[in-house]
Amino acid sequence: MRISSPSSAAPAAAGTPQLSIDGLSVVHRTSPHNLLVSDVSLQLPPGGALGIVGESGSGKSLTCLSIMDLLPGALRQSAGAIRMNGAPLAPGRKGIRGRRIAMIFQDPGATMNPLRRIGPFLSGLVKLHRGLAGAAAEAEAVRLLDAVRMPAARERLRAYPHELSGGQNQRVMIAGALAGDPEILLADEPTTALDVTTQAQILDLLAELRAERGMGLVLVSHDFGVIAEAADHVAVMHAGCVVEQAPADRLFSSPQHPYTASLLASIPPETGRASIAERQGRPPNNLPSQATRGIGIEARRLSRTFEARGGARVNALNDVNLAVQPGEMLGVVGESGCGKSTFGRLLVGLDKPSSGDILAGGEPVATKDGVAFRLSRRRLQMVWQDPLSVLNPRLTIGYQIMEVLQTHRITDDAESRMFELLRAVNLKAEHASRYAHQLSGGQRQRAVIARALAVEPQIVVFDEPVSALDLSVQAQVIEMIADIRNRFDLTGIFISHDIRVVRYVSDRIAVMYLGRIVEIGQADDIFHTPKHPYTQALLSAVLSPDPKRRKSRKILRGDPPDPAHMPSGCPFHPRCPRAAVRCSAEPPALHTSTDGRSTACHAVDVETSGLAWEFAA
Amino acid sequence: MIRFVFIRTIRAILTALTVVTTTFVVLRITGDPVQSLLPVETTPPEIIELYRRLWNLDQPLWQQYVGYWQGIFHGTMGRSFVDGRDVVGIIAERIPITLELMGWTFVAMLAIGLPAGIAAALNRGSWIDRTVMAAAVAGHALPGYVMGILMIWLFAVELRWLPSSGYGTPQHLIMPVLTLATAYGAVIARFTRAAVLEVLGQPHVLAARSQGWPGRTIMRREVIPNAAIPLVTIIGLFLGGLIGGSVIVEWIFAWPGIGRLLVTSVAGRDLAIVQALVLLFSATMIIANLLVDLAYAFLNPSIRLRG
Repeated sequence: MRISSPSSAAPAAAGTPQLSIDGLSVVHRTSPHNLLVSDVSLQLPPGGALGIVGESGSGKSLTCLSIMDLLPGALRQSAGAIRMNGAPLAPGRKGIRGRRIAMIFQDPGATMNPLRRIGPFLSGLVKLHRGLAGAAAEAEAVRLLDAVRMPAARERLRAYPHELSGGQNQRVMIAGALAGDPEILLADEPTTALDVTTQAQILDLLAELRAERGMGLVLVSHDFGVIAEAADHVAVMHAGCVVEQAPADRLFSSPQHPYTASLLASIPPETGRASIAERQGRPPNNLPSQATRGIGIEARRLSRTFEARGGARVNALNDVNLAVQPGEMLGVVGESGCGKSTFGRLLVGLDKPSSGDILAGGEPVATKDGVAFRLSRRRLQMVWQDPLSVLNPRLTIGYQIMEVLQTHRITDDAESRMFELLRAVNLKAEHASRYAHQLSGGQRQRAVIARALAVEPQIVVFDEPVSALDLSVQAQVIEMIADIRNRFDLTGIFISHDIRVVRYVSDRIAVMYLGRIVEIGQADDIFHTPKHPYTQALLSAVLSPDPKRRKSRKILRGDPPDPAHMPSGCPFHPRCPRAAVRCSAEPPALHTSTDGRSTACHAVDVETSGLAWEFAA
Repeated sequence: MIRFVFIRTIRAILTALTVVTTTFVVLRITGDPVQSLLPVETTPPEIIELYRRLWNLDQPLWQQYVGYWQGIFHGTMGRSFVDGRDVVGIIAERIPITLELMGWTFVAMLAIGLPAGIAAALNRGSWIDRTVMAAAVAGHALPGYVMGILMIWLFAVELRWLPSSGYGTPQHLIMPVLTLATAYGAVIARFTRAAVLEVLGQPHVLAARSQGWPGRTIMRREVIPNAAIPLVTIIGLFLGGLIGGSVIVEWIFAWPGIGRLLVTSVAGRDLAIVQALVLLFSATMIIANLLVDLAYAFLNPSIRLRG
């Protein structure tokens, strides 16, 4: 259904790239010598898929915005030309934006006008680009939603963005991008804000749309897995420059530039658990350990209910039983809204359970402000995702660590202990006098961890400690956490949405879905032989940084249900490929099999007892 | 939505109850009004007693409280301590006069503040932005009495274009309205600029540009409606505050509204009127707040639908 419009150029001669960027440079208007993008040249072959990969600040998004002439007001393109089918694009990109080149962005919730319903959003674009109005535009809007596989398309027209999930909103954005029937789609981190199972759905959709429409794709991402999945040709950017570009299979199998090689080595491996430091060829550091020993922590029938707006009750955590052994690192993995962060906050006593108990070293964990709570801070510490928001912006890093040491009267010589702690997290003595904003993301998170370690805690809960960090930094911080945990003999709970990261640091992994633990077992067992259908789907959604391994993935359909309206029986059954009648009637209990693995699944239970599982008709 | 309106209304009523009670208590514990009104040393005790009975001050406190509530519900707030006229009547004849001033001020402050703020935001960092913001700081910082007296000197004394004070013709309105509207308009301009800048930085504005929408459509459809949500809150609160803000300006320009009435009543220790005016001011504030909440819910679908 490609519409040929007078504005679209005749098919280019063979060999002419569909889109070419030649010598693009971008500068700040006030400092024209500081190149944010420096002499970048890229080509998109007709109907191809070009991936641009790099860490934050590499200039990949600016390159993408330059194509649309949408650079932020403070920046300008100082050199270079951008051509489409050989013809240079005019400034302002009139007749190009949305019609011949369309764009989708990172956070689909934020890229939609919160005050506009889906219907007017789409039919407005149809009217703008195709001149259809009224009922014809609305019918086209429904066709667009169908094209992006939106279930119940017609009913969605009256929905506001906040009534849809992130994945659904991204589908609507893609539908809007298709409204002008563009020749090229630019996708700037299109799945970064989404859960892994949703990410897999969206990438599949993009691949299908490309095949159907012969659309060229420029995909910008920090994630090698996403790039390997969706791009044929890859450019690696670093500090504003393209350091390497190659066909995808060659780039991933034999990276030429050391930067590419070191980034690829930073990805937590899927086979074996070789240290990332070893794979990057760095020496492991050796520092003295300390004498505190981890203690066990146990959750007994732990539940936490929140009251949602409008009086609905949401079970964020539902009857969770779990024991972490002294010195063990337990990984907790699950998608957003599964209750993993609530669980972490409950464990350290920052939130009060609705029912159930938490025992740390056999004693109940204090939750009320007071002496008991303050004393319990010496045993229990937490490390959060965003280090900038947990560090005091007006105090130096060193002062904040010493303050903790003095408050809890840990040592007489707070200053030298502070320097030891900085060394333990691979920070230098000079960082002590810095403020949080003067450190990089990775250094900040190290400082937060040093501050948490200052009280010599026995249990530390890490809640998504590396999710906000760039890949190379993420690898170093994970490595450091693994190292510190061994050296300090900590008991740890490591919460993350990324099962590869969790596996890298954990002894055991607990998989959560909608407030329940669905599977728990040894990290390698869970990773290699997942039993629960949800764990299988979660692992299947992990994207390998190797285009040859684009697998026939088991993609989960739909989104997690609204926690305020939990499905009956097993909460996973509406999305479960193995669901039977029994699953919608009776919630499965967490059963432990002989190999020490626990699963909450009727199908697994039946198979363990030697019978065959009957699928629902 | 119904639930939301219901909860907000109940909350407003509770606030009103608290204000009424606090006013009653504060006015009773600050001393015997009769003593502050009459020269105690020279007034015979029976005259004082007479006044006490007249204003029910001889009754036990709880009876006074009940009577006070009954008065509010029956629309009688007692009689003026000074000339014995009905308080409600005195205030009622002043209200339209103040409303006239406030209505024009409201229109003028929006007419000044909104375009200035939007222009500053759209030209961020340019001379337009700097001029608007400098003017806004000046307008807000200049006290009403300085501004008012400057204008009287310039327009009434030197140029003789406008009457220096009083009430009656449209010419009388110009200076008091400008005095108030400059100060409030300056604040509106600052808030408008911040709100528009905030929305301009949102990804959905960038997305709309990438979709090929012309700038004017983006302004009308993405920027203005989203910036309006926080602005409605501020503007609504101004609406309540305007009446309190009228006091100085009405005094300077001899505008015979309730602001001026408040000043004369306080000076003359006419507690019956002061008490009624305090209630009136707080009632306007509470109603303005309620309207803001409801408007906010109406503008923002995520509140409207969940509420």
